[in-house]
Amino acid sequence: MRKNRGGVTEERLDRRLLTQWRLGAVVPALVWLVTWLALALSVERQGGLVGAGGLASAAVIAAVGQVVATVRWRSWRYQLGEDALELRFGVVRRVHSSVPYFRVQRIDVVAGPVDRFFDLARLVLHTASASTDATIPGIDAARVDDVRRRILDRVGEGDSV
Amino acid sequence: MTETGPAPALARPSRLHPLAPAADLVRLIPVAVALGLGPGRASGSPVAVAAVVLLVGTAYGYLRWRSRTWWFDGGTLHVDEGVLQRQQRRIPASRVQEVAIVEPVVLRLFGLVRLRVETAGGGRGAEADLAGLSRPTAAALREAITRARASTGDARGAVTPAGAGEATLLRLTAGRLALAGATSWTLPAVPEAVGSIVAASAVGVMAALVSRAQAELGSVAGATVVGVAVLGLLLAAAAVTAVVVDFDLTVSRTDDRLRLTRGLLSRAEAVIPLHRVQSVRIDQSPLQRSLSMASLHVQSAGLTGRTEEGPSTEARLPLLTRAEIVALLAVVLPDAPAVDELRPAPPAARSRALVRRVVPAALLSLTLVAVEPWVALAAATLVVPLAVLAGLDAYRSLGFRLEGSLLVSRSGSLVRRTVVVAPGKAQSGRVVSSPLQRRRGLATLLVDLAAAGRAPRVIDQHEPVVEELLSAVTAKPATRPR
Repeated sequence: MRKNRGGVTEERLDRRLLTQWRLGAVVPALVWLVTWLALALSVERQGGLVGAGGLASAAVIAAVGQVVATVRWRSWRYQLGEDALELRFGVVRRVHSSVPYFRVQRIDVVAGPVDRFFDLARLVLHTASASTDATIPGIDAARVDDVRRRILDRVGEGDSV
Repeated sequence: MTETGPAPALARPSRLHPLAPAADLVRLIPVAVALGLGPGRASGSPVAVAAVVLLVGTAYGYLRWRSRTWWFDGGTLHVDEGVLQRQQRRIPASRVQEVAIVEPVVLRLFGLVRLRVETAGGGRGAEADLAGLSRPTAAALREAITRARASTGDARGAVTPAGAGEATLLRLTAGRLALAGATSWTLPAVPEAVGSIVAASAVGVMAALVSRAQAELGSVAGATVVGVAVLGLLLAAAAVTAVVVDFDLTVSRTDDRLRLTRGLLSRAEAVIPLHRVQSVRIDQSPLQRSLSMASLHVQSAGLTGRTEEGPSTEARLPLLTRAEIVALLAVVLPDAPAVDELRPAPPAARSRALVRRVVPAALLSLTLVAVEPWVALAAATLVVPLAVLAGLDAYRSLGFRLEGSLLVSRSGSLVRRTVVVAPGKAQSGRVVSSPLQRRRGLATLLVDLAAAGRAPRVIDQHEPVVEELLSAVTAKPATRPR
């Protein structure tokens, strides 16, 4: 965490989300490996070389996945600013999304089975615009209510449309 | 309206006009004919089948008409309906967002209109739809509801009864509409990469057509004649369509409301509360640029003003002169500055504009090598210079202007698009940059509005400038917006 202007802390996503993303990145490699072996072995009966090729390519896919997950996680910052929630993320396409609290119509806390396994939750802010992009993908489930309350406290009374 | 006589008694439960079921029946005729010619002919009695369909339709239409009553007691609109399952609907005037009178073709044949009452809730079930009222009854009902609503105190600003103080701002002649149709050859929703693909394939199709025509007619002159004829036909069709759809397009204003009526066969009406306007877009095709005219679109929030023809949260005015645009902007967004005095994009944006268009065009030409190398070469010599011209034009289009929290932004190659974002309407905003943009210190701003359609954007300005724009546009207005 580092201090930003106005003394508001800029926060990273929870470290457990990095673990979740890294594990998730292994899945396509496994799928690749299984398909490779199934196809190769049904055509040729001699396993050795084919199996090694499959393992090697799957390892490359998994490694690339690890790098992508890590870089993506490291690119994320969010900040509960004075007037707005600020999100900064993206590796290739960098995005800085700013959502003023007085525009917030609804806040959802979403946690799928995988999120729950890691004790994480996603916080989704909705405004009157369908194109608003405001999802914080990994917050400690124990903290998420606190974050939501902090935002709701600042929503106050405003004209929404 | 020239009708005289006593005002219709709105407070007494009454049915729709007796001719309303007849209008429903007219709509059933094509179905009866289709059923008669299809299953009817197969069973050897087309007339009998059609007659049964019409008889059943008549009986049901009568029952439905008889079961449906409405009245307005001064504060609430009541609609009771349902042949088997009765439904009683009560709509308090204070909750009414809009009362629109629409004139579908079939009802017009019988001199009737359709009255739609829209509420803020949005759900389709929450509104009343009275298809088949006489014109004076509909007008009286609309006035009564609007007046009752005004007296209950509408939080969204003062409202006067319809008709009182209504001023016509604009009326487009058939000639203007035809010109609009013929000059608006735009593909507004198509991204530019797709645009270049379309352009390239159009070139291919044209070449094929010309060579075909040349073979058939035996001369280049013959082929040219065919091409010109096809083009002329397309333009004529576009012009006729525009006249039919937008016939007698009229814009009028009542206090806080902008009212648009249009249409030759079906008259449609859209009403836009001015405080709900999110943005105004001005589109200019190259032909329109040379005429120094443009089309104008007013986008408002929510569902208000839906008509038979679908959502009309976007009010479209197909072709206006510069003076008309200035006059209309002064009404819709009084704080808007001159929309043609903008701050241009930095020179670094020029190469971005070029790369964005030339690269897809070149890649596309390259893929044609698969067909025949000389085809690829021909396509490249044709498409790449065009892409360069489009890129230079796109760079010249780029520009923005910020007045308080009101943002004007212009972009687009060929079709030049100027968007004026109403002050204090941005729901949120995003600054986005691709690696190529970052290398030149550029970024793009996207503004999220509470309206359908593409988010307005400021393309390829210096990143600190864009960040500043983001905080200015999303800042909380000092006073509540209108």
